[in-house]
Amino acid sequence: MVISRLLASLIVCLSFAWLGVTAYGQPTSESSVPELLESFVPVTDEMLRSPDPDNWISFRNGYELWGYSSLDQVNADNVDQLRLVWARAMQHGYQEVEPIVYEGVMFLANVEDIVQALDATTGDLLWEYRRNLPDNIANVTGTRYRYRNVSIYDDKIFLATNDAFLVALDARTGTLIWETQRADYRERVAQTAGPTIVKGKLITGSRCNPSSPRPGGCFITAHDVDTGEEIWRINTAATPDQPGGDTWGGLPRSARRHASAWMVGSYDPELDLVYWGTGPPAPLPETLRGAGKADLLFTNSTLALDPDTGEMAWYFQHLPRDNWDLDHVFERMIVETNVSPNPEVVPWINPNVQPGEMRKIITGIPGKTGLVWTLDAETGEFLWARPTVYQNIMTGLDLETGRPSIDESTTPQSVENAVLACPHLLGGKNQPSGAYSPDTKALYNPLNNACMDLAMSVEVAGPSDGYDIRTRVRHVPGVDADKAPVGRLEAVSASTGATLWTYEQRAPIYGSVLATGGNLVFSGDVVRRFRALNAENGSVLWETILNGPVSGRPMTYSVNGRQYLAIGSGGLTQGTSFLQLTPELNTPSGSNTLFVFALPAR
Amino acid sequence: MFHQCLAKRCTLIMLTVATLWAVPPTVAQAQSDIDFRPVTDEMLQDPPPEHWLMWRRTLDSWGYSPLNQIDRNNADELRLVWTRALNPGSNQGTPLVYDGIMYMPNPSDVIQAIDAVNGDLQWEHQRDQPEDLTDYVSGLAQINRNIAIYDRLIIDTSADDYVFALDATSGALVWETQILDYQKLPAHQSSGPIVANGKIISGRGCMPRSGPDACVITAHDADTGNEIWRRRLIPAPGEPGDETWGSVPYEERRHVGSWMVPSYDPALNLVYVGTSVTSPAPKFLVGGVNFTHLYHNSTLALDADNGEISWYYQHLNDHWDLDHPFERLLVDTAVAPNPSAVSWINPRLRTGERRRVVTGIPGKTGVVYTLDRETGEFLWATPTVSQNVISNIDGATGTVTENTEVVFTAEGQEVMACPTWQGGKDWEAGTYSPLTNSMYMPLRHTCGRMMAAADTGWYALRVRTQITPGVDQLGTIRAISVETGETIWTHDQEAFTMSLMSTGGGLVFGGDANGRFKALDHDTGEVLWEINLGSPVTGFPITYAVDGRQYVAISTGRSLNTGGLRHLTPDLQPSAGNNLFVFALPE
Repeated sequence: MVISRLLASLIVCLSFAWLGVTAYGQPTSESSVPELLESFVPVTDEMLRSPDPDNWISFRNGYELWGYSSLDQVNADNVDQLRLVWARAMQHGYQEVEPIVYEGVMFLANVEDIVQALDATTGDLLWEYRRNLPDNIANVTGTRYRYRNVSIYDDKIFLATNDAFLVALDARTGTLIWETQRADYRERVAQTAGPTIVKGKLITGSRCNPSSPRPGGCFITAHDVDTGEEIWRINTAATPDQPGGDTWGGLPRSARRHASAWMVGSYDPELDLVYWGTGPPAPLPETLRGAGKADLLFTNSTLALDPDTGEMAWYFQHLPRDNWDLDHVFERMIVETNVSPNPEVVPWINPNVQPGEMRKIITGIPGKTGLVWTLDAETGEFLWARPTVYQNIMTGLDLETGRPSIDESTTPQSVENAVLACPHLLGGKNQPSGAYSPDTKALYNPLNNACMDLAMSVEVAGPSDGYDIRTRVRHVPGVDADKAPVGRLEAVSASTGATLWTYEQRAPIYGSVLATGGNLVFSGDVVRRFRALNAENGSVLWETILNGPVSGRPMTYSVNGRQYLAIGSGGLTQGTSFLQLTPELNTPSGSNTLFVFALPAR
Repeated sequence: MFHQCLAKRCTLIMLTVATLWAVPPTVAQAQSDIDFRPVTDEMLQDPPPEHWLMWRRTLDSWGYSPLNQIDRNNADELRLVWTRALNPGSNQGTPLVYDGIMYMPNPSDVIQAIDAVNGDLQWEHQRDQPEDLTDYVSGLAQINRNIAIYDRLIIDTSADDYVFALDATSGALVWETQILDYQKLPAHQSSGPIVANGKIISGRGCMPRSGPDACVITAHDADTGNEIWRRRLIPAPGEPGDETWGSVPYEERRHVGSWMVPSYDPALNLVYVGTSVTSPAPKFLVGGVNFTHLYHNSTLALDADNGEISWYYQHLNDHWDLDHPFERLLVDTAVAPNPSAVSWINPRLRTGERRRVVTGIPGKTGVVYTLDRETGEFLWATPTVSQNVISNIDGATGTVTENTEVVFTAEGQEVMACPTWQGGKDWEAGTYSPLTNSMYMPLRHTCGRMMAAADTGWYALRVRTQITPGVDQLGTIRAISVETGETIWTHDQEAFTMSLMSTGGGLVFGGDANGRFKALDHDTGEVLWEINLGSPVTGFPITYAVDGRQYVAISTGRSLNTGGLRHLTPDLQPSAGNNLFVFALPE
């Protein structure tokens, strides 16, 4: 930790041998229960299915992954009165964090497998857990400085660690209850997000480094919440003897690599299915892969799994034969809606769709292409899809199956000559989550409009290469590079697919979106601005300026009748890569910090 | 992207997405240099209220602004306008604001020009620090408390012992002048300069290894960077004061530095500087306890034209590392010390007479000293927090008598002395308000079991710090009448308090080690507004106005004290992030 090393050097230089220097952030006593947690009530399945609006106890505030809260004390009429209530610096690293809040206590994930319990009204520390990580972890898994969320269930806090363990902490004290190894981190495997907790099982994706040698791709596991015992595990690359196993062009199992599943799954209690997304294979250029133009299941797919067994109910591949690093791992939102895609704006509609029919769908923007996809949640049937930002890798979709046709000119063919592929490998959309509001029945997604020059980085792939590509970010074709907007927030009807409004600006937008019952959408950008927009029309109602890229995950909660709004900012983010398109803009990124706002106390 | 992360840190964080073609970073161009109005001596000596042009805003080191849009009636309406991450390292920076542009010293000799209304970067200057710098000047190389503005220049002293000037409109280096060779005569320049009638006056903390020749105050020509004079703070054989070192050879006279920021009185043309302890501290190790080792722990009044010593006053013959380099408040006031509140009074003083004084708490003991600033005549002094190192001050002469019970006379001797090297008072600045004729001082209640141990560190001291016996809380702010020496109010709290600012709105702003930043009523000490910024409030608060709107700026980070005193308040567990925060009333 660079910061503590600097501090240590300061202290050593004035070496007073008796000077008792206590390190920052160490709990004074690991077993004492802070007053706020003395009356802790265990979290139940019922709470996870029907969360109390005052709390935010799971990723995106519910199994449907809507990123929506019904709280409405802060609303379109008074949002301009918001003011900072407290701030707290976080561990240095990527800022992609979504806190959870339960009964006035915030459980905050930090990078480097640090978890903190804070008084959600003051930011004061209640306890802290720091995992001892192997020294070489940063160079092995590539995840040390990136983590998004912890999970809560019963009386425990769960995290999936850099060294590929699952860890259960006592929610009252932060004390380790159990830990279970999910993989050998030296195989370049970790996770960067917390588990989805379904009926007493921790269902956890994995982040496999593209150079991970693991055969059969990456994996998803289920563990018992009480004991940490593994219940099931599935691999994300079909092996030769499995259904889909014939989609790898005859490659041996050892060459079926990657298909990382690094985000968080959704769950539908009625259908009793969890939905997970997967990423691309490695290496990326087909000419290096040795599998021809094979589809490579289950890369870039939605997987519907039985939470009890891991058995696959259905799958849907959004992008076969990925040459571009266009992961499809993002939130699968579950919505019951009138399915009425508007043919004027939705180019790809399954002719079997009966307009006006009520369906339970999987929707949102699951992949970096920026396409909105709508599937039947029970069967995986393709219903409709539409693009948002400019893309050129797909020439169209098969209307009955949703299978894309690829523009061959966008696949990299050589080291010397780059092709123009759109969107850029950071998206379109990326891990910053979109939101869905049941009030407006709209999806709100953070997007960037950009392309990439794409070339192979090697002539011949090695057995444990990463992606083997090199890229340069580009504006989309035909725009004025000095003026073209890059960042975009787009509201799309989940029912009709029509765009309700678009907010576009020059500065990239690379942070998650929150929708609230106050008719508000909260969104931050890479150059420090954090704003609230009217959910119905996109007008900006409030804006403040934070300490760096607003790349965190805004969330809201209420304690003692006061609604709070939390957002992380000022850490590292890949979103700054887009600033190469906007050289007149810059942003600092040296001080990862959580900011909490509220209306004036009454 | 933009080079806000340390090189070491950047290499630690792997980008595994793909190999990227390198693209050079670009910085937005600053305001046109045609629009820039040069800063004059007249402005520095009588600054318009909307600006904050030096460390404590004025050359008298008051830390006071007449701005009064934010006042006692509306302070609770303050809200965040913008915040901005600062570069890593120990942050104790003071922003300057001139014509809507903020100039912010970041740790490790990084200076930024920032739009004061929205925090957007105009330019950044990052001075290359030699790889071996900390081997010579220690981790104090990170600290960059303040910079100066003059003409079209932003002026700073660097960790590698230069003074340098940047073009205020572009950040380009205009000139630089070496003051010391950091490898031969290292000194830490953790504080920056002031500008006294076109001369850049700066002090420094000389490393013990440097001997006496690095212990200097310097003056440089602001236009050219040429050195004008250099005043050594340790006498050489043949110079006045040489006899106060006894038989200690010249080259073994160490560490009498001046590591905070001077004050300046243009009318008297005198610069006021304060000095530190010797190394080692116990005087039995430096030629004997009866020698006074000039000019350690003194106030020196220097002729700004040539650096000659007009007068000096020694506050303490220091055996305990109780430096006296802090802000000298220059005040014209009636002098009427209340004998029931003030311990030591000059018997010749005519109660109520108006004097030009230098006052404040210049050293770690927490003792208030008031001297005539033209002559150095002792007027009065009185302790604040518990101290046991001074047993008496002779009012007629100002001569200080140390408490022999705590004066070390032998190796291995252990005493309980109060306060410790962390104060009492430390570098965190107090403020003076002309509206109340009071000073407001951030203090802490510490004592330490101290042992004289010749082989230990810079000071030959081992110290185990504790909260002063009989006191519950470490932190305090004390309001003291400059006229009478009476304590008007105290604000006591668990976390130790940090730098203060007073304003025309009747407010005292200040933060603490637990991340809280507050506005207090200057008459009563009542807390009118408070916010948790998460990390210790290590920066110096300032206020400014742009287009008629008043702003308050403050930064957070870490310092030696926020780490070193932490064990005294173990239930307070703030974070440690470098952020600059700016507040204002709603538009």
